Amino acid sequence: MDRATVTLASVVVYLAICIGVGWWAMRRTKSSEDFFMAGRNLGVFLTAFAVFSSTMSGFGFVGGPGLVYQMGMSSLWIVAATMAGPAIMFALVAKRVRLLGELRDCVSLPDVVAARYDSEAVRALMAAVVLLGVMGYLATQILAMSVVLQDVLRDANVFPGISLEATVAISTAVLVFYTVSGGIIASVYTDLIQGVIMVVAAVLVFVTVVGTFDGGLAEMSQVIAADDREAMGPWGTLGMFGGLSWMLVFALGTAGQPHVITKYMMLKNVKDIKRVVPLGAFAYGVAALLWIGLGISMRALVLSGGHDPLMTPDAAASAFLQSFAHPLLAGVVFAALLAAIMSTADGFLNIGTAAVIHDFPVALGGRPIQNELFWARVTTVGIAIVAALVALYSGDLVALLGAFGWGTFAAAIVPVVAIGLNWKGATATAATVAIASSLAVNFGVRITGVSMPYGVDVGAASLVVSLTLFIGISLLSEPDELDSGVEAVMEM
Amino acid sequence: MTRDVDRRLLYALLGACIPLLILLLIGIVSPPGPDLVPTPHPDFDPMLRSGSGAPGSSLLIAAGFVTGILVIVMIGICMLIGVRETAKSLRRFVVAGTVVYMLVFCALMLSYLEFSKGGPLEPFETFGGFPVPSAWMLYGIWLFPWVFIIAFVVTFDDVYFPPESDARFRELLRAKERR
Repeated sequence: MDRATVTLASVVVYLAICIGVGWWAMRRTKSSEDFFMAGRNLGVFLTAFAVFSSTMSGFGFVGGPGLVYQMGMSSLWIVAATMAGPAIMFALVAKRVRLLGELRDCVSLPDVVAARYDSEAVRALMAAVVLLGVMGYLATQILAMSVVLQDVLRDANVFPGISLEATVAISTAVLVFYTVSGGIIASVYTDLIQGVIMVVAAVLVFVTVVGTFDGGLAEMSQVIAADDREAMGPWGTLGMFGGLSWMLVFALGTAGQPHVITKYMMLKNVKDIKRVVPLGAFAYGVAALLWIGLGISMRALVLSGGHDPLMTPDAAASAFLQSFAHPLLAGVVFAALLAAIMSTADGFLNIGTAAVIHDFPVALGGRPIQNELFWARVTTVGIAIVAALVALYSGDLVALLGAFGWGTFAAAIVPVVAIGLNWKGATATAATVAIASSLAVNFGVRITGVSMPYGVDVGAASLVVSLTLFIGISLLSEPDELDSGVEAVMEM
Repeated sequence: MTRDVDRRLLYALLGACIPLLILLLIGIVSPPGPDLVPTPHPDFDPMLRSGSGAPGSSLLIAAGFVTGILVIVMIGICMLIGVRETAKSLRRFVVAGTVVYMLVFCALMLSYLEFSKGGPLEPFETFGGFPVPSAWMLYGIWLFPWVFIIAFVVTFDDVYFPPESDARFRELLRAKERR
């Protein structure tokens, strides 16, 4: 079998496994708590891999190596931040969100903030942030998934003329099938499979990468530095402020990603946190080897004439796999790429559904709607269709919403959830202002086209602004009255 | 009100945020010159090359150094906010770990100053396949936080979620069931 056929076969097998898991999980999903929280019954491995797979999106497997190809070492500050992130998650969020989730029967992050601040306004604002972020992330993930599928089908000459609309329909249908039928249960079990595929693929690719130059990574470093010494220095071509702002927003921001935080709420036993955090961090560290190795080798290969220049940075991963990887490895990595995209997308689909079907009705009407499970399934289909349409037809909107993602979540959620669940003096007013400021700064900068100086990331600026407002306003206000149960959890 | 986060930590976090905002404002008012902006590679666009003036003046490097230290201080304070005051040994460990983390960043900056003096074709020392300052970033800044993760794991049953917290939580759940 040739390379393209092996790749297609791997992708088809992977998609079939996802459908199978969805079918199996459907029988275990009997209530809305099963649909959104997996019955709060997840074990160590499932949760750890769900956390890792949700964090490592398609960006890590495609965008990451592309950024290293484009900017040199700059984007590795994102990787460098990814071990501080779990440590902060451990200290600030994991335990409290798990305990409060069970005590107050929370099925979403807006539920948690509503319980903490006793404020429906904070719940509604948080639900709006989650939904906006979900639309952006989901649309970009669906688009990425469809482009990969289109390439695979064309290369294998199965459907050479297949349109993007058709691959959007196929990939969205698979995603929707397993998330609608099996809810978060299907999502976390597919996350486990997806996570294992990603880790295995990353190790194999890294070994292949090191072998592309006789002198390994050291020779690649010399080749890149001979062209541009700064590119191989710690700051890359972007400069030190760009790198440090990424470190800030990705280290603190890990504790502000709703699709990751909610996974801790699903843990069966709070004591499992001590195994989940290190296992998830270890898996992420191994998977990041692909980001590091692939990007550096492609930049060195192109500079040394070992490979043709790339048309786009994002082509770095696929170009390397097509030229240097064994066909079977290429097949596994393409499946891993789809896995990385889908594992993030399914988590977003689930929390977006919770925002629409649970959080807005409770915030606006005071109680959840009847037959939540049925409407959750209907809403999941609706959100996926809207995201697919946004991906296909919105033009610049998809880029705007996609860019909105990580930084806005970090700015809105880190102060309100990570700090707010630990500090009793944090007030609902401060939470409202912090969430509003995260939206205003992120959207404001992007809509007005203001460029940040010295490569500073907008999300980092937004996070510092919202943290300042949140702490400042809370320190200047009278503390709100706390529910005794919430207060007890905050003291544990 | 019963036990709460030491307010000094919140003032310290605020004290780290405000200088960062001031640095950002200074950056907006005096943006980088064209020699500090990355440019498309002459032969391999969309690859980028660093600006010809990189890394910039000593003032700029000093501002970068301060920014890096503030970012690490924020990471340390955030972890401390999550550790209760009664867990004195863990708190001391987090403080000491944060200081060592800052020293790792100082080592990165010092080796970078040496590295950036060389010309493009000048050989440089490598460690683990990378130039020394980049190796500090990958093997130091990236991997050092494992120390904190391991500390939280080791102290989990005694400090992070001790039996009395477990018992108290079960009591809260029973009270909820009764309601």
